[in-house]
Amino acid sequence: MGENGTMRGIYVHVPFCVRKCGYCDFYSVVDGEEARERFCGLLLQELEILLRSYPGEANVPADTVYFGGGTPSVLGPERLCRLLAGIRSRLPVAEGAEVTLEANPGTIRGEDFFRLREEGFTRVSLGVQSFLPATLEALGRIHSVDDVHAALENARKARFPSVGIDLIFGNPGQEETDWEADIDCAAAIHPDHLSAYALSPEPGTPIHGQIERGEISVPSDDAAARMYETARRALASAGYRHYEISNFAMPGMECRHNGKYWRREGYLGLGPSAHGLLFPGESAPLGMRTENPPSLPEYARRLDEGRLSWVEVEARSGEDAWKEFLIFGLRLEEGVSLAEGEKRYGPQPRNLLEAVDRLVASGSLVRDRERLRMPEAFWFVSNEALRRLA
Amino acid sequence: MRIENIRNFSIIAHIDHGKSTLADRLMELTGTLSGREKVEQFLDKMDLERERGITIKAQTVRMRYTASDGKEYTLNLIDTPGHVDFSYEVSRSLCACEGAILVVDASQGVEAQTLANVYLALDQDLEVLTVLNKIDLPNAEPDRVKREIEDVIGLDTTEMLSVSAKKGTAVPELLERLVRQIPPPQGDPAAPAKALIIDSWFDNYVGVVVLARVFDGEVRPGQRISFMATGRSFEVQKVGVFSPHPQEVERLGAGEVGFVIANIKDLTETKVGDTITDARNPAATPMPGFKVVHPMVFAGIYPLASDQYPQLRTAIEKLRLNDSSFTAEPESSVALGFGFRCGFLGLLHMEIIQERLEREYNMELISTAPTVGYRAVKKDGSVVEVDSPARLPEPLELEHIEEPMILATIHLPSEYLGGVLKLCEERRGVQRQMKFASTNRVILEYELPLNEIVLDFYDMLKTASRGYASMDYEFHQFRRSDLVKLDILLNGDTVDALSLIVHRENAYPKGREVTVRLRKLIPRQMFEVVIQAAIGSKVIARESVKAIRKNVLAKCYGGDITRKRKLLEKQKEGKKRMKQVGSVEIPQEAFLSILRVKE
Repeated sequence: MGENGTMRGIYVHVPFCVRKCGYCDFYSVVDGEEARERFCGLLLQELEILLRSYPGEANVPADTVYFGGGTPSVLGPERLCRLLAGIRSRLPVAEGAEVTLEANPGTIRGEDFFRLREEGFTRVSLGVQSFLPATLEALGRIHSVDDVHAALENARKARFPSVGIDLIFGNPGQEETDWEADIDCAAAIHPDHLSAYALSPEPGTPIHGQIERGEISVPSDDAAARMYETARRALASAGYRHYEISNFAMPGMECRHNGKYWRREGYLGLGPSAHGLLFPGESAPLGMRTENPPSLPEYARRLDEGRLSWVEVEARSGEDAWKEFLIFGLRLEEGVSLAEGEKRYGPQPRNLLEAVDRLVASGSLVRDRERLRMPEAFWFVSNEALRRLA
Repeated sequence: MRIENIRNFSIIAHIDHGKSTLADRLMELTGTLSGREKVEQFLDKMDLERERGITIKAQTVRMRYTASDGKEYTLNLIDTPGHVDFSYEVSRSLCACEGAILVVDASQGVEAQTLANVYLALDQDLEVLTVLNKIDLPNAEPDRVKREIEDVIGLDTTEMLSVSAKKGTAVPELLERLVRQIPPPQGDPAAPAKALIIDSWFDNYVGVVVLARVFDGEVRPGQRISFMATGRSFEVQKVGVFSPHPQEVERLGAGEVGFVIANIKDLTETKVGDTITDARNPAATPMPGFKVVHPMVFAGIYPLASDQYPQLRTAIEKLRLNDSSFTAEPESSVALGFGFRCGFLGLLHMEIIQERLEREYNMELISTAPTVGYRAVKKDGSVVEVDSPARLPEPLELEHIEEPMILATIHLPSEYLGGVLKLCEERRGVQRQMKFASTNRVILEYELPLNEIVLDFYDMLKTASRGYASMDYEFHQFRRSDLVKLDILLNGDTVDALSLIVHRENAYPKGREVTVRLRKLIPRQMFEVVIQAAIGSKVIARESVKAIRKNVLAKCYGGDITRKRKLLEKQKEGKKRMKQVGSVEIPQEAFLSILRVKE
């Protein structure tokens, strides 16, 4: 078992895309077949070096594996299956583990779903973003609306227990009625899981530059807030639980892997730019954050030298751990258990306690016995509260 | 040194007219500064002085000079503070001299403040040597400026020297004239000791250092001295001169200028203008002209983080060791917590103190809008000194309020007269006199409420005259006036630190202005913020800041955790310069900016 009796997650970052989207600031490249093949070898090599350096980690079972990116589906089903099998042969992966694949509806064929399901993938998350051709174009997506319907149908035929979609709102030129249409389309195909992200133009992305230069314009904060409301209301009446700031799921279909991030449970981060949270015991009892370089060549160079790929390793102090526990846990509808926090990290530092008290007094947090949570009405301005805990 | 061979002088100049540069040249030519030490503008020791190009503390430099008559002279340069806030200190420094060099910029001409100091010098019968500086500049207009010196000041310019302090041109000639024209000090070496305190400051190693000019008798180590105004006595430990570095001497005789160290712990014992005498054989009368200077402007100074109050208290105590002209009393504010109500000689003085506290003691401060000291007369006839809007008595008890009036002398080219008159009238000014000093130069005398000029009048005056007008002022009297307290409310709660005392006529526009300004300054937050201005319970202006609608990290997964946490930390840092008042976060600058008239 891992820290606190929970099992760990494994995150695999697949750094390839057919084309970079203008809004995305995750690490990915558009390299060809050769690089993809080499990546698979490197990834398993990384895992081996890690287990050699931290042998104890080989005994911690994983109950979630998540292939994210980039666009993991561009690797093709054979390589994905090989990677999953490679992980399984080196680490215990629990029976009934949640195994997710992020897929672009334009890079996955019908039969692929069957192959993946056969190997043990249980969950597909489709990067749909929108059901309107104009919005897809504005975002620079390579897939069509038909691709979305086809992918969804095939995933279901292949008996994936969970099929989810991602949507983005607050897009350039997007009208509020466009978003209402997107939400209606989404509800009509009733995915098991739905993520709705407010577009957040990060500095350095093409879209950020275009907005800065006034070439395109995005809906105002007030309009974006209304869109968020639209999604909340429509999805609630369609039976979804709004279980995290940007995530909705049919009851029981919440993503277990992502839950580990928000609950501060352990996970390995494999692949370029991946981050991990390890609990290697005495050397970092409250957790150690690891970080791979956001560069495939740099990642390869380190591994070729037989070294760990981490460029950053940081043990967390009690106060850090508490802060992380609060600011990420409060993204969840369930909030955090203060008793759990004390059990894991000791008494809550006084400054945090005082900050929490003030937030409770102002109504932006609610304390219910030993649980602390943020009312849904504040989620879209959650930074206003969370920064006080940072 | 024989008293006949001593020359005590100061340099009078407007800011930037070249006083410090000229002082540097004199020190160089007399060999007082070695080549290695030629730090530009040696006199302005504090960083702040150097940056602002002004002198805050008085200083002296003793120079040795062998004149063309073959005799060796001691030249004591007594440097005076150069700002309208410090005119009493200037008068004391001048009193220690027998002569003054008036430096006028050949391109700028005579400025009002220079004029005021020249009059001070002439009042004390100082021999004034006029020097035209910066003659090497292409825009120099020596003839026009000469005429101006004659017309405006009434000084004869036939023998005026033209110099370039920067290049050193004609500075040797100036030294010769100093010796020839400035009279030696008059004094009786055999009489009981009598010395004037020019300035004093605190030194961490030796305690208070007093800068003094000896008129009669002498001051030497071992002597018991007393201060005639405060009545305290001390035993002298060391005396010395600055040349420019401190240098101990056996005695300071009549006519000499130097420092006195006497194991004094508290700067308030040594007031500028007081007289030092021999405790056992005291002089019959003190030096004339001593007065206690009173702060004119008051403001609350608070630490941004309330747990820094103890550090602020220590910093203020230490700074007061060095500047006894600012006062500080603990006060507390509902909005800002614990802090100090500080009194200053003027706004510049306030800025200097605040900057020094922030810089030298690494403090982050909030200062409230400066206010002048009012007098509240209560119905029972008692008078309350009001140095903070919070101290105003309740309306039921209040008979009336009196405000301080000043007499301002404004000096300007006539083409800007219209704009300047308008400005003075807008500020409730009453004209006392208007005279043409020359065909195109006007001297205005206005009676103005100090309250109206304290914050930005000087800037506005400069704007109205494209920088050509200048001003000098002195306290005149307290006068009954129709003043009200203007409160600012955020979400229904009065923020005491934002209250102002204003003239009733100005209350409405002021209320509107302040609420609009605060609306622009206060960022959107979790809840709507309602901003109101009120007199008593009557709301006279209202604005609101809508609640923030979007501030969220939409995506937050494994790889984002560290980065997103840093982002939140950054947001937190950004808000650190905000003060939480009730449920509202107010930016630091709000407290000061509410008084500013135009953006």
